[in-house]
Amino acid sequence: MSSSWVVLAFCCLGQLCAGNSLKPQIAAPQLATNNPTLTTVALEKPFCMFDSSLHPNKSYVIYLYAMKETASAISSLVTDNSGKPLDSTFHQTSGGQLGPYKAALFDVPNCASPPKLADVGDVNKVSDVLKQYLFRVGDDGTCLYDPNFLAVCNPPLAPDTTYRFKYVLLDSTEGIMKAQTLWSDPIKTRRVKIPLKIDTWPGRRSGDMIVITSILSVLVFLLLAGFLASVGSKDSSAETRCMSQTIQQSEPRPQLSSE
Amino acid sequence: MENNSRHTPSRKQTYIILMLITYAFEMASCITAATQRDFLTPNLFLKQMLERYNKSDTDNNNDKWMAEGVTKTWDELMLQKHCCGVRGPSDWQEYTSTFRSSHKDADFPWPRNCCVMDAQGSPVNLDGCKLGVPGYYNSNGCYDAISGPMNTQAWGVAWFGFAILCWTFFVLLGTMFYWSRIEY
Repeated sequence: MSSSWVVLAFCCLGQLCAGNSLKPQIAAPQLATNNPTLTTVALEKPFCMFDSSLHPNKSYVIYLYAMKETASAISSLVTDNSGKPLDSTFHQTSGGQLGPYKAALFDVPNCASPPKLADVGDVNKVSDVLKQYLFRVGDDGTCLYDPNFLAVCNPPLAPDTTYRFKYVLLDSTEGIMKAQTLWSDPIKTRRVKIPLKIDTWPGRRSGDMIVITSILSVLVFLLLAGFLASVGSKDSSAETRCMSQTIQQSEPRPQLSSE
Repeated sequence: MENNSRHTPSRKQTYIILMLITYAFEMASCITAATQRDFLTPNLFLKQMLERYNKSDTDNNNDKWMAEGVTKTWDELMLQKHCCGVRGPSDWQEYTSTFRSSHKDADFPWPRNCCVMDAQGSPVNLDGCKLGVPGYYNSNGCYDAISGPMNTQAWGVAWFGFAILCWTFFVLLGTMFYWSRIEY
């Protein structure tokens, strides 16, 4: 398992030459099995995507933009005319409906030593590995309604909606966008069903119930048949016994009357 | 002297008729008991869990009592048997529920008791549990833990009842056979 992650890391390094054809990817499904959920999407951080644009002595920061897929018809630009990235929030764009909004801000992930995903099994390292490897869009449920919140707000997404994401590399001193990825493939959040529609009818009867019913019915039938046979034989034997008794009783009578 | 023992049922006949009626009722109840077992499907538990677990806006006292019972039972079950939901934690994600109406999906994709707990009773890693990282949440469903003991007990009772009925059948048959041969 760890060897496959090493191969993946090397693939990341190898894509240095791929240029700008990179897109944000959803987090590895073996790691984050509950993804995407109703209101969140966990994305892989952009490992080695911007390495060709990095200069050694400058400081950079990465912005993550999110928008609903339907907004691409309205506007999908993340910069204004002077090359500065947009400062739009979730509230301003109605949750990404009118255009992209800034969902996150973080440091450039370390391409040379990516986190080892096999370390997730270690209880002490798992927090760091998760923090370095992925970012969960929609994680913060309270920042939208908190008037004192000043950082970048990352509110929950809408269920059953398709979203697209983009990473933007920014020079922190100049404040100008240096590189950007393409918009990701459409990622759809989950859809829910209502529990009223769950069918609780058991359907087909189980096998042993059918066996019990049929065997018991046959036994009752046999008992009834036996009862009718015994009643029939009793009646016929009772009649013959009655007749013989009356004949016996009627015989000694004439002797009495003759005397 | 006329012998008027024509169509008045004798005591033995009355006894056998009554025993047959009793046998018929026993048979009906045995079949009903066996049929009832079929109704305890996973869907039944799923629906009850989704509609009552952590229900906060209860209509009356009876509703409140049932909701509290279901919540307490499921909490203990998920904690002790290390399981989540009826078929799996995806039950909480696939369906809307009373739990979902009071707990946001971003913080609680599933109840906290679905997370692997440490010795103090708190989740080992909350982010791992929310994301579904293997090892930090209970990925199997609770239906096996519910149905296993129930099936063994129901099986024992059902087949014991059936065996008693078979025994009664042979006794009645022997009685009828024996009495049809002796004088009375």
